[in-house]
Amino acid sequence: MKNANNIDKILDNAFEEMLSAAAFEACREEAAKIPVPADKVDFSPEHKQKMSKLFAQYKRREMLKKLAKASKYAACILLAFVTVSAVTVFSVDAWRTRVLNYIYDPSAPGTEFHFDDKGGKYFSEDGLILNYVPSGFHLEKDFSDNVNIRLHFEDDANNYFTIVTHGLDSNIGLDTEDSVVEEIIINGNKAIRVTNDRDNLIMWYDDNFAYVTNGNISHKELEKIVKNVEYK
Amino acid sequence: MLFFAVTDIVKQSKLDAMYHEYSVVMYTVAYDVLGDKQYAEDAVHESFLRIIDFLDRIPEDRDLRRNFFVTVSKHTAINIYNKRKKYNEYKYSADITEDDPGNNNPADIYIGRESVQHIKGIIFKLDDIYKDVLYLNIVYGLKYEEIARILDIKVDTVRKRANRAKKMVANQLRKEQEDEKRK
Repeated sequence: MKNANNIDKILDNAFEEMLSAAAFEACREEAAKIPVPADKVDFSPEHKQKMSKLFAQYKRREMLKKLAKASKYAACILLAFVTVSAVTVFSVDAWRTRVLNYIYDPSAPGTEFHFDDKGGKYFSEDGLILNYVPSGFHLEKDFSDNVNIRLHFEDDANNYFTIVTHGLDSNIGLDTEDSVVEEIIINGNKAIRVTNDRDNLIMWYDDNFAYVTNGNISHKELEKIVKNVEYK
Repeated sequence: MLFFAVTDIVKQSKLDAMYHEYSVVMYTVAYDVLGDKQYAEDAVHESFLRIIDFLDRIPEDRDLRRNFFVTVSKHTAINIYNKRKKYNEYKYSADITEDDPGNNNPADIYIGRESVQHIKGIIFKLDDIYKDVLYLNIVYGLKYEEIARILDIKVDTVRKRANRAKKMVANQLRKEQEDEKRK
């Protein structure tokens, strides 16, 4: 039964195909037989006027269609231009703005620092290179995990400093009670210097991370360390 | 880019070009039906009003294109004629009768290379109302709704005419093949 239906369908399609081929041939042959009018027709002014009106309508409509198409084309070009410009502009480091927000209250036990940025890195197998380490200091312990790099340096006189990386979308809480909090510039970026009786601290950032370095060494030495940190 | 797009249209529209190429033959066909200059001109104008939305669908082939304009003009003229006379002189009896089921089952039709030539001969003999719907549908690729708009008739009428045309072709083909067998 199913087989019979299939055969009917095949024959039906074959018939339609033949009908189509025959219709094309017939139409073409009939068209060729249409006699070419011998006389030139002189259309009346009323007819000419009506046709002119129709042509004008058609032209307007086509013009609007083409304008719409051209506008779409122009919009696409503009969009492509804006996209390319944006990619170019934002790939230039100088345009990348890290926003470091905080409200410092000297009487509060701590201050929360917010980095508002989706870029940057988290810890990978690459590491930090400290191009300047004060004399006598050595890497005592590496606390790094798969989120942060944490390096602890010491010397023989119990002096220390620690450097910790944070993602650029981090909130970093620091102990700022009874401290002096100042803004300084490190390698062209805004940085925070915290000074108190316990230790000195500098928080700064670059294209890769936000960093916190603290230790019981002078600010001068701390600044020298942080200005020479490299991420590779 | 925008400027060129606009000036391109201003030069000469497709409609303009087609009118200049086919208006005379359209007028001639319409005049044959109507026998009146003014009505024939109206038929040409009305035809273009109906064709305007389908200009991009008309084939590039000059013969097919010519036949298309002639077909539309002829049907427009017939419509005008019928409206004027208030009775349907151009309506064929087959168009008035109910749609008979007929038999276009090709299962009992011999299908071969020569069948196309047979079918072509049968199409030639069809009444214009069937033949034209068949051409507009198959050759010009228009849907029934579009044909109805162009010919100013009901979609249902177009459907009936197309179905009947196919049945007529199938029946005639079967009949001719049976006659040949008897010989």
